Amino acid sequence: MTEAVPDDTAPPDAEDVEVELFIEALRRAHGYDYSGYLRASFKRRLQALAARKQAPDISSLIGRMLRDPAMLPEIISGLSVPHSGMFRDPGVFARLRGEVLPALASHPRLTVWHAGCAGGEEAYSLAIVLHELGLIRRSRIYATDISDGILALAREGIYPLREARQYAENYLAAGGAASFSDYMHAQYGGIKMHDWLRAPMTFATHNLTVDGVFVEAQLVLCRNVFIYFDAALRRRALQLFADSLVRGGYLLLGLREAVDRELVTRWFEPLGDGLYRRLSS
Amino acid sequence: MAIAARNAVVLAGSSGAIAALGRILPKLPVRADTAFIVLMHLPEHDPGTWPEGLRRRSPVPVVEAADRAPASGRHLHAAPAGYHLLVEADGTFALSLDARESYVRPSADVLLDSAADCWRERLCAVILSGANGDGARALPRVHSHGGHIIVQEPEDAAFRAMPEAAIATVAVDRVVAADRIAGEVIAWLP
Repeated sequence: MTEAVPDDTAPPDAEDVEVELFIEALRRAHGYDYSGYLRASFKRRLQALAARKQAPDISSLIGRMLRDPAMLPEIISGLSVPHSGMFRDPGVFARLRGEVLPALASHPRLTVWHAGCAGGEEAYSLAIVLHELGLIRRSRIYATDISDGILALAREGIYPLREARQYAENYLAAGGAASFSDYMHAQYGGIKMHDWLRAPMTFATHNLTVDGVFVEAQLVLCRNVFIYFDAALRRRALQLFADSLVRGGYLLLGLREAVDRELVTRWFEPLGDGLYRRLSS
Repeated sequence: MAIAARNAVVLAGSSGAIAALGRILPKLPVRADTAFIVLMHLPEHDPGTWPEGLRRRSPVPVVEAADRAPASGRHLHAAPAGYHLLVEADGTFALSLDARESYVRPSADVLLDSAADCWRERLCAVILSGANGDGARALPRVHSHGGHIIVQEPEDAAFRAMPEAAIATVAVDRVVAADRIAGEVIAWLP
């Protein structure tokens, strides 16, 4: 035997057991089910959360979570990944601008579901592209996330000043027709996106592990969310997106997210760069 | 379907580490039981072309460390720019966009913590030239899990901060010049 799954006989670390207990406690006490999340990065976020709450270990964090329900919002946002970036992967946004949105422009109304919108960077990026294509007035972006706390940040649309240069570069690389600074103003050491960009957005909590279809969309964006999900949770979310999309609608996943090809081609034609088109049959 | 290798060697570095890799990679063995994983600090918007440069020097076939792919033997898995790279308990890769650690993403601390949990005493961590202390915070975990730690000699490194931070953090197993690192890795392998 020259190959083997590493370390398949060693007893688990205490901390790994605590992670499983935490997941079970959160599910039983509050109904949030993180069992489908990949553990390595989840554990790291949980350790950081415990450190922030000055809990000596995850077990004591479990005790406090069970006895203090007011901690829940902080826990849910602490387990989320809050930021992505504007026009991250500019080539993908260039395809949205040049290929996807023009193909969808014949619909009288354009409905976009942005699942796992985190800090809202990509929702504002999309609003900018919709504006430059003249589509923003007949578009609606449902930006959803598991965490209320994160959605509050997305609603504010304030981002660190140090990111502004990268965002502006990405905007141009994605085919931006104006200047990124037209869409923001500097404020309190940050950048604040203009309020009118938020006009087409509706923010709502939606949990991909349990919640169902709530909209019929022409475009679903869910970028860099699957990277935290195991295969079963990816399958569930993919089915949900397939059921939410109109025939010929588009799904945009992250650039480096694996999906079971046999499963995805049941509903979608893969177009590369994480882009998929809903099949009509 | 490939499965994860029994042993793993993580090579992590920053400024000056590409030159060090040029002296290490040509001597690495192709082994079915060993996965090599290389993590460099790069501009985050590298489109995925950076491993091309490794291909010319490495007898071990170079692939990008891909979401949910196993850390298989006979390969050198290159961490993609802009994401943290982690290893799950079953030896498959996972990516994350969590905040930068030590100002970098991918971070060697993040990779090594998870790799130590996965491979324990069958992990070898190699810390190369770099201008910050990334990697050092994970070394106690590598060490306490029985893993092996090799550090590029600070005098041999173009930037000595990363090797020095590693040496200051934990009792490392070997401190050698880049030319000798492949030999030390081979000597460590079972």
